[in-house]
Amino acid sequence: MTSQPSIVSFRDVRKHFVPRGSMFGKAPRVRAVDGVTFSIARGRVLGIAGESGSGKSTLANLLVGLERATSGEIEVDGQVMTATPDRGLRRAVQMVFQDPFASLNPRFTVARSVEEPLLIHGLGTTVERRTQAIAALEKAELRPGLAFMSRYPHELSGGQRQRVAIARAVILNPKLLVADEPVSMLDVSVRAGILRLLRRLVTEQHMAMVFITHDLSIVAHICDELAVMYRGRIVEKGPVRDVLRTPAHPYTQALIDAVPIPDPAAVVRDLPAKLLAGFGDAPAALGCPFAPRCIHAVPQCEASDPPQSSVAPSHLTACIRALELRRAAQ
Amino acid sequence: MPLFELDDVSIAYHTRDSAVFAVNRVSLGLEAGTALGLVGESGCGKSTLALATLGLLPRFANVWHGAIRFEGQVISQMADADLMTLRWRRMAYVPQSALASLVPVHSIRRQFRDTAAAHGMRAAEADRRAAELFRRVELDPIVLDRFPHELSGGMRQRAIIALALLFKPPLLVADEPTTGLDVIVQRQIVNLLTNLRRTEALSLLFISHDIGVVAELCDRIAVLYAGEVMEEGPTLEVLANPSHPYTMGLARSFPDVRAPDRPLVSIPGHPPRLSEVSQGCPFATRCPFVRDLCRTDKPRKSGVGRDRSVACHFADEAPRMAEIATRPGIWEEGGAAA
Repeated sequence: MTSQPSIVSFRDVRKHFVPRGSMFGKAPRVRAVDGVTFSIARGRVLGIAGESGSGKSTLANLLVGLERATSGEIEVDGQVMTATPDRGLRRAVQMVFQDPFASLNPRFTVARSVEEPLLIHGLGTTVERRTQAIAALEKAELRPGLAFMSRYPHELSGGQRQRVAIARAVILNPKLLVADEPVSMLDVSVRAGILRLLRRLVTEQHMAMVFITHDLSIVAHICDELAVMYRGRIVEKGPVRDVLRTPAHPYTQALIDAVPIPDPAAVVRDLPAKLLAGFGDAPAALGCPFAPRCIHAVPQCEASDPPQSSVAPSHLTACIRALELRRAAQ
Repeated sequence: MPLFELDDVSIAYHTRDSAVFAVNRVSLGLEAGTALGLVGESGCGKSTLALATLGLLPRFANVWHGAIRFEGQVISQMADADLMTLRWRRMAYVPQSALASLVPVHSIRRQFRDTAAAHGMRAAEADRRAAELFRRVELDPIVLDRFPHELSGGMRQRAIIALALLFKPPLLVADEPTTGLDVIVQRQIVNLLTNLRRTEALSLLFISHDIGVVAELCDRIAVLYAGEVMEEGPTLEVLANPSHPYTMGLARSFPDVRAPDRPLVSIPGHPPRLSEVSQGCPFATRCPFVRDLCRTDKPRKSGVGRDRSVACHFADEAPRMAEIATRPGIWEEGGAAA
């Protein structure tokens, strides 16, 4: 990536869940995150894309310390994440949630919501907290900040609420922002503004950001790099425009083809029936997890785990046929 | 004669001592076998129109002005008992939240049977039809004996669509049926609706904020803002050459996965509250092309070419505005581009 030191790094992180009622090993373990490795430098945004059930949200929970990894190492701001992250580490990672209608307490004023992190961490005097909250609101482009302090969530539009949630997330000057589908519940007309705001904050505050989404049409407008997850694994990773223009993994291609195009004259590419059929049963322990849904799968795909290989500079994929398919497409 | 028609319809919500209008003098038509998409931000009146179409407005709301016609009958003045004979049999509803609209403690089969019984279809016939419809929506009929929580989001939405088709209604009203689903599941539902339109000769009133889905599914599009139609016409023409600045902004705020470098527009501000009644154009407060006339006079609907209409005083300058509207900065500066 760059010479900048990384703010967050994952090294072969796994998170497996044992389904309830299967103490005797009847049901297989759910491998929500299955050997994920990446790092993000200061000022950079990594997009994580995939369907529901691909492990995106578990990854977010691991990042903020809500889940504990089964194995592997997570390092944030030079500190290794442990079972009970200390306050410093908790302050360093903040989250922006999907639904600003649910993530703000309806009985709290904007002031109370935004000051809450300072209260929890016992920071500042009443006056200092208030000043900082106003400053945070203005950073989130709610100006003048003072005018929003005494308002309640129901008085705000969806976009304004998400800005309040963002102000609350950045008031502690975090090193890493984890944004889980932060614009998918908002009106399309305000999404671009929220994306630009997040991008600006990452740059100005020298943070790193993980941006989780299932919608590949927005990633180019916020991310530097994109990682596509399937069944807990990263199947493709690279500079966002490279991945979108020349996807190397058949799953990435499918996610791109699935996005509706706002142009009725465009030719919609059909998705193979095999893919539309959904995840289906858990794949065999060995081999490419996507093979059962892949139209390009050959017997070899199910024989062993596909290794990450590079198809272009810093563009990796875990598909044994990637180069062959790319040559065939040209 | 259109299958379904809104003729100068205003819909009022009544509060203790006043009324606010969620829909204002809207005229739209839907020809049999076609699909009409209603798009716009939240609070623009889309869902109110859907409910009015089905005669399901809450008690404190009513059609204040104009008429809603379906198959030649004025349904906006129809008694509940008569509406009952139309719903499910002649028009059915697919809501946004499939989970909230299925009874959580009954199997899917029971919900087919209950709906059938309420409208005079026998259980055996309902079972036969349910199995047939499940195959039609590509669900295994085994799923009929499952409970809603056992189904994935996409399966539930398909089950709801199957249920809506129980009596082969000619009109389906779908309110954001793909919102909240992830892209591949959304694709399944869009494909399914496209196929059903063809094979069942279904007409569709499709409500969505997602221009991409409407572009794929609908022949015609109506852009609503603050309860009024800003622009209406064939989807292809409206999206390729929008005549109203609001359509221009909306179309440009929607990302195109094929064009990662195209800048995205954001329309600052929000639609007016229902209680704020404007003299002029409702979009004037957010329009980068606003002029004095826009604030004082409501633009009348005027024709654009064939089969298309727009409500903007300066629609004849659309090509120039559309060019400027592609620049995100123009939207931030409020009225700077006029």
